[in-house]
Amino acid sequence: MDTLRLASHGLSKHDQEILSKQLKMLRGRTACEWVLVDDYRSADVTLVQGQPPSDMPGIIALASTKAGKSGRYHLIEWPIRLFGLIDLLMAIELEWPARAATPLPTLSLAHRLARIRQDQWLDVAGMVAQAFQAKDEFRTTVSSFDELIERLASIDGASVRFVEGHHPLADQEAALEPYSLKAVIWSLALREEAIKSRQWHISQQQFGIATWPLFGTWETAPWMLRLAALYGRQPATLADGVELTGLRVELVAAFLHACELCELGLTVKQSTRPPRIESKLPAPESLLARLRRKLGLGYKRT
Amino acid sequence: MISKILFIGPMGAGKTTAITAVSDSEPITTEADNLDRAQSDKATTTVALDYGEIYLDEDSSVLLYGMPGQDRFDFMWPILAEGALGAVLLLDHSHPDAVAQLDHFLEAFAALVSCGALVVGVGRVQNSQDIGVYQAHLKAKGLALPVYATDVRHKQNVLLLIETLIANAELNEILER
Repeated sequence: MDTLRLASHGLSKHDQEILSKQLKMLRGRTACEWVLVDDYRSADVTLVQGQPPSDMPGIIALASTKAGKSGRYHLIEWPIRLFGLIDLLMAIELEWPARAATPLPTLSLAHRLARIRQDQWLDVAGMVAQAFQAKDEFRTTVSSFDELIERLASIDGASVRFVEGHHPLADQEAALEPYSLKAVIWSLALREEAIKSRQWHISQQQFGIATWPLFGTWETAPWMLRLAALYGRQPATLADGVELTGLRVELVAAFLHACELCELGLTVKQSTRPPRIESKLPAPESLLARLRRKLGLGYKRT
Repeated sequence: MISKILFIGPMGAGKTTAITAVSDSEPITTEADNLDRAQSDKATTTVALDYGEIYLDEDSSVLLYGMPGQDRFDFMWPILAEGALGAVLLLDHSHPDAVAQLDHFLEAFAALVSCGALVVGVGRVQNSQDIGVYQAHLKAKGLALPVYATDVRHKQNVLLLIETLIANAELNEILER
């Protein structure tokens, strides 16, 4: 495995510590081993807040309001989040000369779709699809959303081929069924085993979301409304979500994973406090429980 | 046991239609010819309030109040908001000032907003990106409130708005223990 040296320039002490912790959390998730070095002159890549010195060698990543690339600079959204950092590191690894000898780790299809930053064609096991990131559209020949998700969920993300530019089947565009790209990512992410891949801890991390999922347009279930209410209101642990909904922790983690891939502003921070939610769901005779029954909105703990 | 859900929003956003979709009784409406064509070009509008009801049993019901959207009735809003389970804010995306209207109602119903008891339903949207405008606006204000694309002529859409308020109220009950 190649080792790449990362330095920072212009970051506060606090931000440097966060970057160091984030790199540790990403260990094993990137094709190369990333190590922090103090001096940018000995680094392969330097993360810069502000103006980079004119003599700065190697690859430069600038803290910016959005991710992407500008000229020779990579851009990373500030403040740095894990999701943004891994995107940056993997983008740089793709450019790195030794990359051909280093297989990239397998990413899920949901993750790969979430990373799309421009319009792309997909060849997915014989199914033709087109993803329009800016328009939030996913066009395919599959005429049912449920069937589409069923087919996509059974596919290994690494086997999907992404093609930029004009596709030979572009003439079929009019016959393609349009879906929301985010709705596709949401549904696929909900079906992934995030608890394993993300290595989240059930009670030692607190999660929050800045924006609610687009329920009604994306896949919706009563337990998702409860989780959105919880994590949208205050930071809470996975255990809190389990207690509130009665779900398996794997489902709660999948919900948060889907929130992150759909860019709903997932935050994760360390917590040492015990879970706060002690859920005594409304008694069957409570007004809320009866209102649910009356409207056919029953909620059963699993 | 009585509770209530408010349907708020500017004139013409669909409050009367939403209440009609879920009320057990024929809603009592106070429609009159709309003389305020500057705010909306619909022919009639609610001048007092709409009233519907979801019966639970002999002693319990959830009252549904549709509150007049015109500014001159805003003195009624805090009175009706007192003790409400939550509010459904309906907006019309085709209105040029829809985002400003969102701000107006967020401020007027700040007490409900602070406990998450407000859900936004946006009508006449073309695609999910239209909703992104409201999501981004709320995010910039540090508010994580639910925003959905809504067509209040469809009962399932109205039920989703109400179910969201129920989920939030259940959380509030747990947090207040």
